[in-house]
Amino acid sequence: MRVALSLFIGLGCVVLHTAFLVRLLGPYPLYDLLLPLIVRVSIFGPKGESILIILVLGTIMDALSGSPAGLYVVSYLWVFAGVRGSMYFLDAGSLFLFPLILAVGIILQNMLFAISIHGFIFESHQFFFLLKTIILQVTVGLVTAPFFLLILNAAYARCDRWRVQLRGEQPDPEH
Amino acid sequence: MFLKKALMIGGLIVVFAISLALLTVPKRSYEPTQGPGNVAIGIVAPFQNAATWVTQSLKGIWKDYFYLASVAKENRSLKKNLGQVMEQNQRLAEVQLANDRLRALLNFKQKSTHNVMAAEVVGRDPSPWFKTIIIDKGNDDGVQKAMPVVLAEGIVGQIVEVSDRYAKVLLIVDQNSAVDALVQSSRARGIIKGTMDGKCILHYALRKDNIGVGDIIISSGLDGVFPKGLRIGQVSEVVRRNAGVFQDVVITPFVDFEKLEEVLIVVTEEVITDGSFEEGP
Repeated sequence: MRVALSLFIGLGCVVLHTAFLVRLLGPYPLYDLLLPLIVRVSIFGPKGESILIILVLGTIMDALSGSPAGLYVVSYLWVFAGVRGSMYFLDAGSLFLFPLILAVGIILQNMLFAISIHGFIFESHQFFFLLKTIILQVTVGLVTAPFFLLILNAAYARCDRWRVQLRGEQPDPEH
Repeated sequence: MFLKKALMIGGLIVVFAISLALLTVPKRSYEPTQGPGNVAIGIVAPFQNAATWVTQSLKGIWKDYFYLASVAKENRSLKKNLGQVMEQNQRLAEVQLANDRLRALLNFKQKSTHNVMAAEVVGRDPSPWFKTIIIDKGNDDGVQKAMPVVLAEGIVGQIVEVSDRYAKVLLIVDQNSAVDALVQSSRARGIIKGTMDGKCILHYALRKDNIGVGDIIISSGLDGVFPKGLRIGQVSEVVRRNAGVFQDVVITPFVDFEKLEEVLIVVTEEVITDGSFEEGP
């Protein structure tokens, strides 16, 4: 049920992003709206579930974007690995650290995209475009991340309550 | 006792006589009041004035209250009507804009000897690094990979992926896009590629070719995707370095890719015969 909810939220974010927000705000200030979900799932979800969600949502994003095949999946897997790694020494799920981890995810994803286009050597205008995009998206990400986390937490908490009511299961204290 | 009675009757007669005299003798002129009367008026009139002012004010407030109440009611009703009219106006403006765009597409469709199909843009690339759009026509409508996508203003891109009902279009401003192009005036050739900032660059144009700002760039037809003569954009900058065989030419596309809503897919490979696309803007 949590996987279904994650996929449902993810699809909602994709539609909101590609059909509405890009038209409204243009592509530059908008970071990948799936990243907060991926970060949260990586922090709180079991590994198997997280990887399944990443593979499905990453494939959808790859299909919708003009990116080289598999680039979104790879970027999400890197974010997943980074978040999992950081959890050994950070309280990644806190309201304060979540935006910072999301910011790192945004930087990582943009770097991967830039490298996929330009390789490892950038010309000055390409570097400035990368810098401008990262600064814009990280700023928006830092501001919006706590709200995302609160909304996602509320959605998963509601989902857990429904699951308990429907199946008589016990809520997962880690989720 | 008798004296008292007589005095009273006498007094009454006197008062009556004076009254009669005052009522019957015509007064020819009205002199300004003098003496105690004047003083009395001076004392009383300000109070009268104040009382009248208060009365009038209260009357005014009362009237205004009812007036304002009715005005407020009318205002609410007018505001509601205004909101409805504004909403209707907005809807009509949107219809008007859509009508203009569709009319331009239809006009283009009629001018073109190509078999073109209109499609609506339903989604855009989620990343600023890649420039693609999703349109609502796919395999079921006869759309195939590598079909050109155009607008009356110029080339939009080409189909790169097709599903049953949708297709993905790679815009010419994407860095992975390449269009074989000609400078309309000098016939200099080059390859148009996208840049990060939504413009294009004409690569491999020889230094010796005379290319100037404002020149129109059209498709050459040599890439096997875009028919010859479709407009692409206008030269906005020419960079000739001291060394090197080629010059870099920055192109501003005619199509506004931020505002794409409808596009035309060229579904046949017939050659344009009327030459209408080679004309300047």
